Amino acid sequence: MIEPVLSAAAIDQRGEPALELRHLHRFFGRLKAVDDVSFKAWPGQVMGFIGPNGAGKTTSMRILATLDTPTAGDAFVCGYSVVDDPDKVRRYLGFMPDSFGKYANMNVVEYLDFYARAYGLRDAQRRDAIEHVLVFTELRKLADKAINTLSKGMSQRLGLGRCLIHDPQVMILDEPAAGLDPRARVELRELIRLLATEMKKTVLISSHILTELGEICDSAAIIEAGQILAYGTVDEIQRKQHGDSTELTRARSLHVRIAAGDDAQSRMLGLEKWLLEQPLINLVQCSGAAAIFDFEGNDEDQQRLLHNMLAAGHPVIEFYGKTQSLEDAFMNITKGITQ
Amino acid sequence: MSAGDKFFHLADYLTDRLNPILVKETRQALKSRQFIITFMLLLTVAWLISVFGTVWYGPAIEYGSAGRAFFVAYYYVIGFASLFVVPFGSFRSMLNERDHNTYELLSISTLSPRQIVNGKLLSSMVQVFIYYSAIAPFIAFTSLLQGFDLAMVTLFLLAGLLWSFFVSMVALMLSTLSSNRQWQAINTIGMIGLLLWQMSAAFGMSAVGLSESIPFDSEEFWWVLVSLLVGAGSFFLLAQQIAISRLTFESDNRSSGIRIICTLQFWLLWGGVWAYAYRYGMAAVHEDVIAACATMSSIHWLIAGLIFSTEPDHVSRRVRRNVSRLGAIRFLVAPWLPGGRRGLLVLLIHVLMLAIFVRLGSWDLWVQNMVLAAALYVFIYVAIGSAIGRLGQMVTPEFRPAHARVLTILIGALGMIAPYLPAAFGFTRWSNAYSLGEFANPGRTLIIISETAYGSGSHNNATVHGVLLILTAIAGVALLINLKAMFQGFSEMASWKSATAAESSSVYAED
Ligand SMILES: Nc1ncnc2c1ncn2[C@@H]1O[C@H](COP(=O)(O)OP(=O)(O)OP(=O)(O)O)[C@@H](O)[C@H]1O
Ligand SMILES: [Mg+2]
Repeated sequence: MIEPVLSAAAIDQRGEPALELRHLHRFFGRLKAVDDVSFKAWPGQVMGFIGPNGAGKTTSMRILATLDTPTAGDAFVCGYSVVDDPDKVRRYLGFMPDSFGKYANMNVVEYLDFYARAYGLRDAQRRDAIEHVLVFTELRKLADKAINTLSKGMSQRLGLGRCLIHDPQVMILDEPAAGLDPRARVELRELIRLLATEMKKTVLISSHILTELGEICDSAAIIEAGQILAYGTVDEIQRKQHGDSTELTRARSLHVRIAAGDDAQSRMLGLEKWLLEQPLINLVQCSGAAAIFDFEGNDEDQQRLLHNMLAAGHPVIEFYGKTQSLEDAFMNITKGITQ
Repeated sequence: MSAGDKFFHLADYLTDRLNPILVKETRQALKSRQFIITFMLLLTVAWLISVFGTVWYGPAIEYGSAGRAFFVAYYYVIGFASLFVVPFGSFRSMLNERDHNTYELLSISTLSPRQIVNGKLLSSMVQVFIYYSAIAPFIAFTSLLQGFDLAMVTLFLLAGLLWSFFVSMVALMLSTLSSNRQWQAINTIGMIGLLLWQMSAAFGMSAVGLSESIPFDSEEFWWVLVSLLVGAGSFFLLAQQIAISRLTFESDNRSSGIRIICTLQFWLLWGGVWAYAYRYGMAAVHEDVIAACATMSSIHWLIAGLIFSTEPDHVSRRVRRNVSRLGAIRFLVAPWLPGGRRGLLVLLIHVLMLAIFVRLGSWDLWVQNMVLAAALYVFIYVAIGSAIGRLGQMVTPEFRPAHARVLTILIGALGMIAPYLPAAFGFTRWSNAYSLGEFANPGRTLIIISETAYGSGSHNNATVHGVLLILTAIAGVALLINLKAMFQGFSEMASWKSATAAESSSVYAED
């Protein structure tokens, strides 16, 4: 297991965590769906929970939501154990599952009203909670619309509103953006950002749409085959990928495209051969008229490379470096293990 | 604020005090097509009955007993709505929660499983009440006719109402039992069959009841009525508790509630017998009644005991911590706490009690022998099941309680046919005489014991003693096999402490 990026000492300076997983295990027979997962999150923090399919995200989240119990270890929400005090945990936690059912013969307000009652809200308290959620999710206009006729985007908002209804401290969102169009995604992201910044909630959000999480998460845990592979702030995870070395020798991925034409294929072969002969270059991949490779030089080296490439007569029309995104970090860290 | 708004706020205020599920289900029901159709259908049919009935009777309606005939017709109409439509609705509504993935969100709200079950039940009660009030004007109309008996009508309406609550509760309970979607179509068809069968049985019985005059002044009548009410009430509670347990998380205590209700049922039955004996003298309670009650009790504990004693022995940390809060009392109430080992304890207590009750009662020897034999059988079967459960768990963790239960039933069935196999394969001759080898067939054996009552010659007390001796010996072995486990049922609780931080972070604390 890779050590957490953030040292324990640095983390503890932030006071009591709102969410903590402590050596969490969940086995299904021989399958180790969650295998010794530990991390913490603090109020006002959006934490990404990133992993490929079957990594154990949903399983961990269901344990946090008290829908399942760990085989070993424990998790704490606002200091309450999900094993020993599930009732208290439920009060402080809002859970939005990856898919949730909708009742027939029910409109948006009735839906929210029902969950407000189910969480024991009464009278003015209940009406205020519903009103607040309708305003926050901008569902006011749709208040009388039957919930099983809502679009995917609107029903995700409703789901988010539902898990907000009892004003929980910690929110667990399991792939909330799945199946949304780009606009709905941006809007949802905005809502989630507000939850953390304005309402000081702790949000744990899982996804494999990594570029998205990169923008709203201030920290992330990458999980695969039940184990945490990396954990820390997004910056730290990215830096970790380049080792602890300095900026100068950092490997970057470079992208080159040459002019398409009748003899593009032979030109491409030529370029590939040429690239493989150059120093500081690894992992050359060619497809069509483009080549991608890892380059371990500094800016000066890169400048020289371009110069030489043009001098060698390659018809370069594009030349750029891809900086490591969270997605790349993800691809580098995870190994494609399935179990 | 408009009048409408005011009404809305008042309704809000009032419904705040109600079960949230009730509020939601009622709102949904009032919007649902099924409810509206049933309601209109009910009104139409009742109206048609009134019109055509009146025409058909003509002037004869003034005398004769038209009132009773009209009442019966309306009673069947309301019966269809309250004994079929509503219970089926509550069955579906619970299944739908699971099917449509709405149940999980409900389960992590602050609603308890009890509130959820009660909410579903209450909302079907509300529907039944609405149907009853729709039919009320028609019943009022029959009261103007000859042959209308207020006492009888009240009794039947009340009985119908209570029976519909009971049926709805059982339907709800059954809907919590199946979690396997593949079976759902079959379960639904089975449920429809069951409801139709139950409804026609209820109609048949009320037809008989309605054709006779009710002996309100007979004490016997009230004894029967109260026994039926108490009995049905106890099974209502049992069904409710089973539904609650099924909705409770696996890691919570799903067992104690059911154990307590089964104990309560046992005491109600024998408490009733003793109360009757106290009122009318021991001689008034016939041996046959004791034999019947003992048979019921034995079957009851055979089923309950088999379920309790094959529960997994592994008790979750959550339950252990809650139990440890009981302090020293936990050792006193151990048989009612979850876990298979303690399940066998609770069974042992009750079969012992059954045998002791009957012995105390100074009834005839045959009934004492019969009850003793029944108690021994129950203990033997359940002890076998318990042992199989533990053995299976040792072999593979995949071994589920259901496997142990099925295996035990198979062993029991094998025992029943085994004595006849030699004759069936022609090794020996068929013989009508009871042989001791037939002890493995409880049905035949118990009948043989009961036949000694009337001194019917062929079977003497020696045979009975022989059988009892064999059964006692086997029960002794069964006890020995399970003794260690039963002792552990007590002793393991000594180590249950409230979970400490150290425990919860230790990785293999659960194993
Ligand atoms: N109830 C269960 N019984 C058996 N295995 C299970 C159960 N639930 C999950 N698993 C297994 O546990 C592993 C982790 O599943 P999980 O749903 O947590 O993954 P995930 O990270 O949420 O994946 P996805 O991105 O596809 O949602 C999978 O291999 C899955 O098959
Ligand atoms: Mg998932």
